[in-house]
Amino acid sequence: MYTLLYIAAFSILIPVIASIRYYRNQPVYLRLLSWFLWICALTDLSSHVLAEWYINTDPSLHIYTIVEFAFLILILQPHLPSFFTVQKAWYVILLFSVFGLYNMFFLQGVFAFNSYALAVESIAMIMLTVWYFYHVLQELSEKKLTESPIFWISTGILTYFSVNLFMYIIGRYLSENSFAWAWAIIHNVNYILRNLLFFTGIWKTRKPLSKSSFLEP
Amino acid sequence: MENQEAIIQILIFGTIGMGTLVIAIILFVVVYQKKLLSQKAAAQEMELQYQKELINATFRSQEAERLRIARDLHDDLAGDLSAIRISISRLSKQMTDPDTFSNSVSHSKSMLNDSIEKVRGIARELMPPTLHKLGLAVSLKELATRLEIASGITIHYTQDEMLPVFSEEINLSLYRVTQELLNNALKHSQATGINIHLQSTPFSISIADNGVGFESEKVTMKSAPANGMGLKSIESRLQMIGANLALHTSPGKGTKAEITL
Repeated sequence: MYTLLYIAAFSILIPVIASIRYYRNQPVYLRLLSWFLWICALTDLSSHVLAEWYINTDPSLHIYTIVEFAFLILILQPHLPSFFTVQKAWYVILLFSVFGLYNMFFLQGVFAFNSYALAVESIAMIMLTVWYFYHVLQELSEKKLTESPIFWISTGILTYFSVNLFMYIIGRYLSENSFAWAWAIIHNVNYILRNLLFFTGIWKTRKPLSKSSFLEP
Repeated sequence: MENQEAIIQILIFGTIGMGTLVIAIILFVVVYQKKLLSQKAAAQEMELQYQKELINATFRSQEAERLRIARDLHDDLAGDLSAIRISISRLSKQMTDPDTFSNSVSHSKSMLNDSIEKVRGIARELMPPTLHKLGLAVSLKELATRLEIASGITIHYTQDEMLPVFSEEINLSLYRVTQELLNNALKHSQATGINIHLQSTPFSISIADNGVGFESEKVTMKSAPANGMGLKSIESRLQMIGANLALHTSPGKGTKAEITL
């Protein structure tokens, strides 16, 4: 169990190292992903430190969820239909932030696990990635889908949040500690899988981009 | 205890189910996208091939037209002009005999008049002067009269009042296409009568004959490049002006071609 926990904790380093190594070759949306991964790694590290000192990490999770939502929306936005403009993406982020803060202070509380915000975030991410896949089939602009970084990133987001959503729903009915290990195993495996899929996405940009494609989203 | 196991089972199998569903969605997207791309590529290839055939048909049509003009000039006009030259060169020898001289002059004049008529005919074929001066309807009416006299087949021309006025480019294309359709009808239909009607709104030209007709499946716009040269050239012209052609025919029931714009 602890081995899996360590593997999961360190798995974030795989995409983080790749994102530092290939940062110069990356278009804007992948640079956003890089920043997101670095924030993710720092949050993970701080959570482990706080947990060692028996300090509740839930308040930071409230904020992290809002930040994660904002980053993922901005990463996906350029690959969605043009109808979903940057301005609309920011409206959605603002709306979610308001909900996240309201949940933090008034709904579930600062020191409670923010399952409501996480569930809403999961539903939004599932919808956006499914929208992306639908758009891919509509546009047919990608010649080789598996060579596209955003395909792997979207796959990571969809897998991660689909399993997470199910777990948050089930989690409401898991009050006994005896189930916690099963929940933790699934969560960590899911987290490792997401990091590996993000890494694959970043790996696809290892070849330097031309000037024109660099400017593209 | 049993309850605990059941919950753990739900958690594990639910997660596996969720994961499987996601994988299935992604696999579907990848496979289906590949299939759609190959279909798109095949359709583009077909379209490209079709466009090539259209361009070839246009070139062939132009070459055929040039060949016909060359033949007309060589067989008719060149022969006549040679005869006139011979006739004029004889005149000096016939000056002593006024009757023969006068006959030769009037014969030469007559041959010159014939040649002028032939030049006019060729020019009219190339670009009907009425089309520029009096418009499409008058030109088509004149064409119908001319073809009726030449072929001996009754060609009945009717038109609505207040026909729309088009640009010269459109008029010329419509004229050429109608001419081609009429030629086809005269050559292949074995018809005894042809009706041409110009409708005002929506604008259309219909050419209907009472001939033998044909199986429309056998001659379509996108097939039969060998016998469809005329049709391809027609389609190419119509495509350029944004018009369409519909063919209604079946064996023994004549043919109706309708151009709509």
